[in-house]
Amino acid sequence: MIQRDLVFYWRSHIPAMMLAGMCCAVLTGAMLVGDSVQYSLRRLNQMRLGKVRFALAAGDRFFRQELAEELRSKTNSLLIVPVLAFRGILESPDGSTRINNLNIYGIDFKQFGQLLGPPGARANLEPIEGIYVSESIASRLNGIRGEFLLRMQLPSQLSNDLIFSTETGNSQAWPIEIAGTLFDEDMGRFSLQARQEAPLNVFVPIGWLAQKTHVTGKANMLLCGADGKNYTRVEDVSAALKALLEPEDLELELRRNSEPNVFELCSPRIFLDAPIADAALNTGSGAAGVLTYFVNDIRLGDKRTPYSTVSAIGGQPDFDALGDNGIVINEWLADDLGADVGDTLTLTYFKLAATRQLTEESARFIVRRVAPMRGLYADPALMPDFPGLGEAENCRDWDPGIPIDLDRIRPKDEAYWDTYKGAPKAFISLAAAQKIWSNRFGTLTAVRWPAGANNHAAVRADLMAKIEPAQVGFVFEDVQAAARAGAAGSTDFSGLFAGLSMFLIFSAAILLALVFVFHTEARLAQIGILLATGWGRFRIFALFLAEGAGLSLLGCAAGAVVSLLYTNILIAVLNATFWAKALASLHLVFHASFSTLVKGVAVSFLICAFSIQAALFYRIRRPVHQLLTGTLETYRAGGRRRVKMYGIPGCVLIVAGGLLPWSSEWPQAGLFFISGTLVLAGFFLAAAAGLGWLRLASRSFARSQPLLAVRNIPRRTSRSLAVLMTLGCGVFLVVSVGTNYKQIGADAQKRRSGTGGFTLLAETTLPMTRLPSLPQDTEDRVPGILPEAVVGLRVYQQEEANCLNLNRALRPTLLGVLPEALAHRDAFDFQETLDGKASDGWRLLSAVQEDGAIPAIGDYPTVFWALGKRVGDRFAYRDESGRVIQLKIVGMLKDSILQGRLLISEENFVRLFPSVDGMEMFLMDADWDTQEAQARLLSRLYRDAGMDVIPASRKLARFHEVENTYMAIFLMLGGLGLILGSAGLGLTLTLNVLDRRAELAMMQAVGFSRRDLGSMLFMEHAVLLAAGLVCGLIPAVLAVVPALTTQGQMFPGGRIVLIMTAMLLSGIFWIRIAVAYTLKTRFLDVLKNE
Amino acid sequence: MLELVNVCKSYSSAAGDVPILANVNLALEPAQSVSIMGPSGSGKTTLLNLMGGLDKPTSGRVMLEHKNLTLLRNGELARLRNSCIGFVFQLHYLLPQCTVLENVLLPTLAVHQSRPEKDHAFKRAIDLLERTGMRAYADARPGELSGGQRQRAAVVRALIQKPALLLADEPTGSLDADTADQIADLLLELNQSESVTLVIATHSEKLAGKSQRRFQLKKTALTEIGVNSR
Repeated sequence: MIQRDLVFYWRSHIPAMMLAGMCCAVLTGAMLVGDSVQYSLRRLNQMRLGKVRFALAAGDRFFRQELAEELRSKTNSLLIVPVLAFRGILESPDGSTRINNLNIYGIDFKQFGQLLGPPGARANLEPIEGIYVSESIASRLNGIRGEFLLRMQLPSQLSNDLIFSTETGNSQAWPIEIAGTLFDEDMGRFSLQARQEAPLNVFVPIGWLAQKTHVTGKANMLLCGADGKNYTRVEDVSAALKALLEPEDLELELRRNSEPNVFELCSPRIFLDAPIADAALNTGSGAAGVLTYFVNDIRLGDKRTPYSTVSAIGGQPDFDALGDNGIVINEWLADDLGADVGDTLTLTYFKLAATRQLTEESARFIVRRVAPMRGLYADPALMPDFPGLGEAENCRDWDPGIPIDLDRIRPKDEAYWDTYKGAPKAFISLAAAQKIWSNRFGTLTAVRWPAGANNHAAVRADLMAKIEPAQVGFVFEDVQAAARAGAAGSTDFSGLFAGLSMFLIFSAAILLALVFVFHTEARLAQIGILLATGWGRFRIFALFLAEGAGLSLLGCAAGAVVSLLYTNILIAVLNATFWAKALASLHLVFHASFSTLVKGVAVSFLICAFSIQAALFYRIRRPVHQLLTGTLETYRAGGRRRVKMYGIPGCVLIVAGGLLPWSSEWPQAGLFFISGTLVLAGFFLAAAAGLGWLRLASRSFARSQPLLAVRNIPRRTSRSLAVLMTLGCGVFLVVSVGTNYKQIGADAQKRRSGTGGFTLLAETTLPMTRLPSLPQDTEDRVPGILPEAVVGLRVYQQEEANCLNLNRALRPTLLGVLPEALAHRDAFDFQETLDGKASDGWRLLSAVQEDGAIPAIGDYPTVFWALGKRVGDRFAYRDESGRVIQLKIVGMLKDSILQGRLLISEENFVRLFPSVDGMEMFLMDADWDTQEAQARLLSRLYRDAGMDVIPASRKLARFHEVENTYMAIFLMLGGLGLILGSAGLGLTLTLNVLDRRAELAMMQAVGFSRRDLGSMLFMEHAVLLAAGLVCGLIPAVLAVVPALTTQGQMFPGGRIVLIMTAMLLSGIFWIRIAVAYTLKTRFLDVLKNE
Repeated sequence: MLELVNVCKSYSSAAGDVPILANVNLALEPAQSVSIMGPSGSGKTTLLNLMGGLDKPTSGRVMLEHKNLTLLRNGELARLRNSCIGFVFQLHYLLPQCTVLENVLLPTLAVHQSRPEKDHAFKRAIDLLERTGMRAYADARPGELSGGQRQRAAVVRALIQKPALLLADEPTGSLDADTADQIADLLLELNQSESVTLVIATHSEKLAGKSQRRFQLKKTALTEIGVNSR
C-alpha cells in the first residue's frame, strides 16, 4: 500500500523530499560548521604545541639550562627542551616600522624542531647572524628587509616595583637581521596560550639571547614532549622536577658566613618569597629570619647619619625583647650621633606607594643598648645585595633605585663603608621591622642557621624538600589537556549556527507540514473510504506517517550529501568575508565527521516526522462523513466573542510591552526579550480578534471583488493565523536581531558607555612603573595628557576571554586596578552587581568577601558568554604561588573595552601576583577631537615600552564587529528562512484553492473570469502577507528602538526598509506563482457530475 | 435562441477516443422549458456544459443568441455566461461566508456596475427572494438554511442577471421529494415569469413531465421524446 501510494503520488512527494533534504542540509551544515571550527582549533593547537605535552613557564625566574637535561635523564623518556622567553619589540632603526608584543624565544633549533616541527623540519636551522620570525611578523613586515632593532627588557631578579630596583636602562635594543621565516606548519606558531590569533614570534639561539640578557646558561621555560610511556601525568613530571631543583634554580643562595658563624639563605631578589621563607624557618635547627632595610636617615635631634642599613633578626631573645620601639645601635652609630641608652632615634626610609610613587616615612625608636663593633654588629653579610650598592667600592659609587643625595655622604661614612661595608648600624625587633617594611615581595631578606648546630648539606636538602616548586611559580601544566579543554569548551558553533539557521529550519519544517497538509487534504476522501471500510484511525495514521517518514528519510539522506557542499560554501563565505573581518587569524578548514552526519540526519528526520504527524493528526481525527466530502471546511458565522476574547488581552499586551522598555531599569537584553515577546503575542491575539471582526464586518455588504476577497480571509482562521504567525515571528526575529547591529554612537564619550568615557586605550609590551603622560604639542596644537588623566592597570597575561578567542578561556587575563580611580570617574555602566547597586559597583572590588574570595568584575560578554558565569558565581584560579584562589564575580559591566579580562583591585593583584611588574594597560582621558594625533604622539614617545595606543571607541568597535558578524550571518540565514516561509503563503493559497475549487468553478460559471479569480486570490493572500509583516515589524521596532535610543545609536531604518521590501517582494512572488499555478486547474470539471 | 448544430463531443482515454455526443442537433425558442433525460454517464451534464459555454464541442456549433460559443474566447465566454446564462447545479455552491443576499448578487460582482445598476440589481435580488419565499432569509448564511432553501437561493442567484438561458443540472437530485417538487415548480414558474429558456438535465420523470419539451439522451444521440402543451 505504501509503495503504491509513493509511486502514484510521486509528483507531490518531490517537494516533500526536497524540503526534508533542505531541513537536513541546513541543520547538518550548521553542525558541520561546528565540527570544522573544532577541527580548525585542534589543528591550530597542533601547530602551536606540536608534541609539547607539559610546559613550565617560570616568568622572571631563571633556572639552569642543565635542569632540562637532568630532568630528561631522570624521566628517561621525555624530550625536554629549555627555552628563554621574553617579550619585546622589533623596530626599524628609523622608527618607521615597529612591531610590539613580540614573543622572543631563545631556543636550540634542533631540539625545538623535534618538539614543534614536523619530522626533520628546520632541524638544521641555526642562524649565525640574525633571527627567524613567524609568518605573522613576516606578513607585517611585508617584505621589508635589512637591519632591525630587537628591543627587550633586561631580566632582573628584582621587581620593578621594589624600591631598590633601578628602572633606568632596563630595556635594551640590539641590531639584528632577519635570517628567515618559520612557517606556521613548522614551529612558527608556537604559543602556550590558547588563542587562535597568530602570535608574533621571534626565534633566536638560546646562547645568543642568554648572553645578551646576562643570564648565560639560564632558561625560564621548559617544554616536555610526551613520547614516553611513563610520566604521563603532570604530577609525575612535577615530582621529578622537585627532586632535581637546586637552590640556584629558585634564585636562592645558601652560603656560609664565618663571622658570625652561620649558614645564610638569601636571594638576589632581596626579599625571600613567603613560601621559601616559611620553608626555611622550618628547616634545620635554630633558623632565624632576618629583615634588613635601607634607611635614609638615622636622626637624633639635629644630628643625622645618612644612608644606613637597619636589621632585625628573629629568634634572638634580646632583640625580641626590644618590642615595637626599642633599638640596639652599634658603637659607630652611637659615636656618630652621640646617642646613648634612652635616647630616641628617628629612622627615615622610603616606601613605594601604588604606581611607583616613593613616599618617605619615619619611625621612632628608643635606644636600649649600644653594641660593640664585632660579630653581628659589624656583619656586612646582613645587607642584601641591593643593586647599585652591594658591588660599590665606595659610597660615591652608589647607584640605587631610590633618589639619594651623594653630597650628604661624609668621609666618616666612606670610612665605615670601607671597613664594614653595608653592616647594619642598628637593630630592631623582627616584629617591629616587619610592621614597617614588609611588602608584597616578602617579610624577610634572609634566614640564618647557627653553623655549629647544623650541617650545610642537610640544611640544603631539607630546605629543598620543604619548598613546593609550584608555590614559587614552578608549575608544570598539561598544555595538551588545557588545549583540548579550551577547544572542546569553545563557543558551540554547531549550536550557534543551528541557532542562526533556526528560522530557516523552522520554515522548511513548516513548509513540509503544509506540503503534507496539502497532500493529505487532497486525499481526504481516501481516508474517509478507508475508515468507512473498517480501517482503524491509528492504522491509517501509521500508513500516512510511514509514507511521510520514508520520504523524509530519503530527503534527509540526500540532504546530508548536500550539507557537505553547503558547509563548504558556508566556510568559504566565512573565510572570505565575515570571519576574515572578525577573527582574522583563524582560517577555517572543512571537516566532517560521520557521527555528525548521522546526528544531523537523525535530528532532521525527527523534525520532519514531527511536522508530518502534526499535519496528519488533526485531519485523520475528523468524522468520516466530513472526510468523504473531501473538504474540512466548516464555516461558523459570528466572531463577537472572539473579538472580545482575543482583542482585549491583545491590546493590553501591546500597551504593556510597548511601555515596558521606557519605564524599567531592567537589563537591556531581558527587556528586549520581554517587551518584544509581549507586543508580538499581543499582535497575534489582536490578529485573531481581527479575523473575528472580519466575520462581524462581513454582516455589512460585500459589494466588490476586494471586499469579497477580504471576506475569505477568516474562512480558515487557524490556517490564516498560522501563516500570519509564521511570517510575524520570522519578521520579528530577523528585524529585531538583524538590525540590532552594535555601532559606536555619540555616547562613546559618556562615562556610562562601553568606553567608560575614556578617549584612548594604551597597551605596552614592556611594563611601565609610572603613569604615562603627554606634553602639550604647541606646534601642532595637540593638547597634553597629565598622569592624573590616566588610569593604569596591571596585567596578569593569560587567556583572552572575549569574542575574538574561540577557545574557552579557562584562565582569563586579570587586570589590577585602583577601584577608586574608576569609581570617582563613574566609568562604565554596570548591568548587574552583587549588592544590586549599579551606581557603586567599583567599590565592591575592595570589599572583603566573607568567603575569602577575591572580588572580580568583568563585562557581560566575558562573564556570561566566555566564562559561563553569573554575578555571585565563584571559580578557581591559580595565583603566582600556585595556590588555588577563588575569584568571585561581584559585578558585570554592560559593554566595555576591557572585554576578555577580569578586573580585581590592585591591592589584591599585587598580593596575588607580586612578580608582575608595573602596568601594561592605560585608560586615558584625552581630547576627543585630537585623539588620533595624541595616540600617534604617545606611541612615538613610549616606543621603547612598545606602547600601542588606539582610540577607545575603535577598540570597542572591534569587539562589536564580531557580534555584528553573527548578526549578519543570522540576517542572511534568517532572510533565506523568511523567503522560504513566504513560500508557505503560496502553499496556503494552493490549499485554499483546493478547498474552494467548487465554488471557484461556480464563480467561473456565473461569469467571473480567471483574471477576476486570480485577483481575488492574490488580494486575499496579500492582505495576509501584509498583516504578517506588520505583526512582526511593529513589535520588533518597539522592542529595538528604546535599546538603540539609550545607546545613542541610529535607528537602522534603511536596513529595516530593505528587509521588509525583500520580504514583501518574496511574498508577492510566491503568491503570484501559486495563483498562476492554481488557475491552471480546470475548475469547471468539478461541476461535471460525470 | 439556442441552437446546437451537429455537435459532437468525445473524450480521449488510453483506449482511444470515447464519444459522448454524436451529431446532436437542437433548437430552442425563448422561454421554452426543456428537460433532458438519460441514464447516468449518458452525457447530460456534458451537453449542458456545452450549452452554457463551460466546455467546447469536439465538432459542431453551439449558437446562443446568434453567437457561436465555440468561437468565443474565454473572456468573451465569461461575459456571455454572466449576462445571458444562469446555472443551477445539483449542489448549491453558495459561498458560506456570504449572506443569501450577497450570494444572490455574486454574479453582479463579476462585471463593473454603475451605482444605479447596482441599486437595480439589489432591488431585483430582493424581489426575486420575495417571489421565491426567501426574503426573510436574505441576511442568513447558507449554513443556517435547509437544503431546499439553499437551492432556492441558488436559483435566484442564477436569475439575478436576467439570463436568457437557465441551465439546471439535476437541480433536485439532492433533495427530498416534496422539496424537489417545490424547486421544480419554482423553476417552471420563473421560466414563465422571467421568460427565460429553461433546460433541465434530470433523472426525474416527474420533473421532466412538467417541461414543454422532453429529450432523451442515449448512446450519444439526443432524441425528442415528447412535447407538453402548457
